[in-house]
Amino acid sequence: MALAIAYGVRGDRMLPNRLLVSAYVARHLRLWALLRVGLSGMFFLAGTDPLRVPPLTVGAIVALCAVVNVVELHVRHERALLGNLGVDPFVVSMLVTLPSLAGELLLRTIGAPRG
Amino acid sequence: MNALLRVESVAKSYAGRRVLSSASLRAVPGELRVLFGRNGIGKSTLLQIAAGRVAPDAGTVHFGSHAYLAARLPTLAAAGLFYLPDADLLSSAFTVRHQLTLFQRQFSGGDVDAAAERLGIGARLDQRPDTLSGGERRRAELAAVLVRRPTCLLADEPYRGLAPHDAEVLTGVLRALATEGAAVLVTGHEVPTLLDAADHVTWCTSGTTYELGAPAIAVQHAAFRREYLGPWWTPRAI
Repeated sequence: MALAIAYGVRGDRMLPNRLLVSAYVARHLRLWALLRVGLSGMFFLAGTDPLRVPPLTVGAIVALCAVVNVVELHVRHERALLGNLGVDPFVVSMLVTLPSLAGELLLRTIGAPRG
Repeated sequence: MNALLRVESVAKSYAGRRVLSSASLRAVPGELRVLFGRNGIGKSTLLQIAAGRVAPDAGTVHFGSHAYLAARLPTLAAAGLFYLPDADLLSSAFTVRHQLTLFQRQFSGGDVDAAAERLGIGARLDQRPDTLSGGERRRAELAAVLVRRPTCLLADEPYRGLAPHDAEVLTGVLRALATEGAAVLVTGHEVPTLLDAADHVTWCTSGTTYELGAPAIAVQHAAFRREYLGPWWTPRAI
């Protein structure tokens, strides 16, 4: 029997089904929206347009959302669930990052015409 | 029959304390195997290494025709493995039905309602797992196993905290999976129940493992009786 030594990273990555993606994207968008509302209040009080924050701040918001999402995954013990569903850490990292990134890009697009 | 899952000569230390020095494990299609061992001896660590949840310091995990130096649960799960942790497989964020449907869609699995009815949680499908009792949660997790239809099931202390009726249901499901050709491996301390259900006994002690064979033979093993079963244990018809 020919054995292939694999180091945990293999080409046959399993993609999550649409139901799983929509469930996690919806949850993470909700969380991003909540965080963004809170942060926008702080920006507003600091005299900054919440729709026109600097790119570095956008990066920090996305990173903060990703961290909160990862903490939620741990708190809800979802790593075993996602692992059993064949969802690998790369896909999980996309699921926790992309919704807030998309939200921030949308806000920047909305804020751009305001000059 | 050839083993579907083979864990060979794995070692693992935590903070300088060696838990496993050279432990091995096999899961064979059509068999229900049980891994016994005293508390803190490394059973769960060994099972987590087998499932790709913990990386061993040395040794390999073979699943099917592949050998992994650093196996990962998602890779093994995609190949047919299901790991049932000792608690909380299902998330409190989604309903039981939602999570069973995730398994069904991801793996073209079995019928969600049929699995739930078989385990007596049909009326609980639209509840979240954190609103269920411990026994109901365990049965919901077993329903996920039935929907997934794995080729190999690793279950860490699945009987813990279960009422006798739920334990009987669990045994029925584990035996049915093995009869259908799955390789089933469980840990636990429910000696009479597990000896009745199992086809094969593995004993984990002092950082290594011993294949003791069929339960009737295993209970005759002097060291196993002395160090694990205890002096009170009297063999009975198995």
